[in-house]
Amino acid sequence: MSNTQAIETFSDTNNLSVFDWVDARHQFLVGTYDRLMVTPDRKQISRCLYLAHQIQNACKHHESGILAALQLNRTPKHQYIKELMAGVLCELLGKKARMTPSSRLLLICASLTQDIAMLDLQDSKLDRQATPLTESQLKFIRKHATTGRSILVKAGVKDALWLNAVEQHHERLDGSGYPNGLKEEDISLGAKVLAIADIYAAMVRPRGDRGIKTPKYAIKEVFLQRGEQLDVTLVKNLIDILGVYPPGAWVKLANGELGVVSASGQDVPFPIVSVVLDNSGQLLPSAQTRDTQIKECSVIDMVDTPFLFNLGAILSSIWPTIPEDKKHGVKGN
Amino acid sequence: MRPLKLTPLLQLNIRVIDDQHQQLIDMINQTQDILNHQEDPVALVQILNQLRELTILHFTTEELLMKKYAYPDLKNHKSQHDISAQKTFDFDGAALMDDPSAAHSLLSLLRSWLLTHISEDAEMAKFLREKGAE
Ligand SMILES: [Fe+2]
Ligand SMILES: [Fe+2]
Repeated sequence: MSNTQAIETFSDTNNLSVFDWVDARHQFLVGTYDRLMVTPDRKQISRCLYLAHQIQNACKHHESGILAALQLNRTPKHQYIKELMAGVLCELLGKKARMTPSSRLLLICASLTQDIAMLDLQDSKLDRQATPLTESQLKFIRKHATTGRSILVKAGVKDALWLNAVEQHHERLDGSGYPNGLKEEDISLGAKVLAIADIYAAMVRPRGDRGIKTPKYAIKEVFLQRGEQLDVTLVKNLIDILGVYPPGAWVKLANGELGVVSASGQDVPFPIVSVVLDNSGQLLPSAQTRDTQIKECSVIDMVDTPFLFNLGAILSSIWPTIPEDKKHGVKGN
Repeated sequence: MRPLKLTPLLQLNIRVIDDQHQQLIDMINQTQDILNHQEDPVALVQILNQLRELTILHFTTEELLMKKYAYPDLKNHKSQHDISAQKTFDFDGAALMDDPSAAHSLLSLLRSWLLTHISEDAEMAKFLREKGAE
């Protein structure tokens, strides 16, 4: 940002677009992982708590914008976008499940550190691996929940909610999960919430050996796993939060316009859409808000991301900026 | 075709379930109406969007009740729900705009959604009422 310098003397806050906000959070997360790998100690745990706190705060007023930015994110270097999205969903799901703010904070920390034991495997191999997982990779993956807990304990985490959520986030209600095949009543609430957030977030982000899924597909899949695998009420809550057309989803309207869902809307089947392309596929000078309850603006269906450069500016203008304290703001890596 | 009604035969006497079935019946009648009068197909897309939402709400509602009262046939009933849910999610909304036969597919989806599970629902409702649900 070239004009940052000029503003600095007048104000102690930066205003970040939702995309820049996600980018700064991602940088901070990467820095935290790097440090955790070298020296797992309290300092890194404080960084997790700090990041979780920022996520929780931003969710208060910028829920839709952040969800949209995470959904629309296609930056290849953002390889831990799943953790951030899971963190946001944990905060929102935790709120619906009436968890206290401090419990939710620990749950966000759990989503940020859920795969701490397989960071290497995640970034260097899986993302580029086009073939199915090997036997030894599978074994390694099945151990990551337990190993993750140990790493966190070593770093000084004592909160049972955080530790249990990490250790149990692959357990499933019917006992089919790992590492311990726990059943419904033995799985902590935090782990049940994290499981749903993780499954959804993993499906909507691109990954080497599994193609990207549209939010519509991801919502269907999560819904079909309710009952046997995932808690029915929590699944319903997730769909209530996201809507059938979640923020950041590309949609086509009845009048032929193309846009992104900017907010879920008051009634779930009628999201608010910001139109970006007109009915002949031309980029509009600025985004136009459409109420999809109006007949000609009905959402026809979700569509793939249009192949166009320079969508960044128009998309950034859709959601309000997020103020960030410069002194205590995120210092990247 | 005459409009469908929530006849005593279809009524299960569990308020929340009956209300949701009524919403589905309204959608069936609306769809029939749109077809009869060859109205703007956009209205069909709106119905499909509402159907997706109702599907999630209704199946969740029934399954939570069945779980609460430990209904022994929950698993089988849920798999019936899954079939309808899958069809509802997979229905091609865009086709409604330009393919007249898609409207008939929507109508038959709505009808089968209701009719395939309402007999299962009757069994379930009988059990739930005996356990005190209303
Ligand atoms: Fe049913
Ligand atoms: Fe039913």
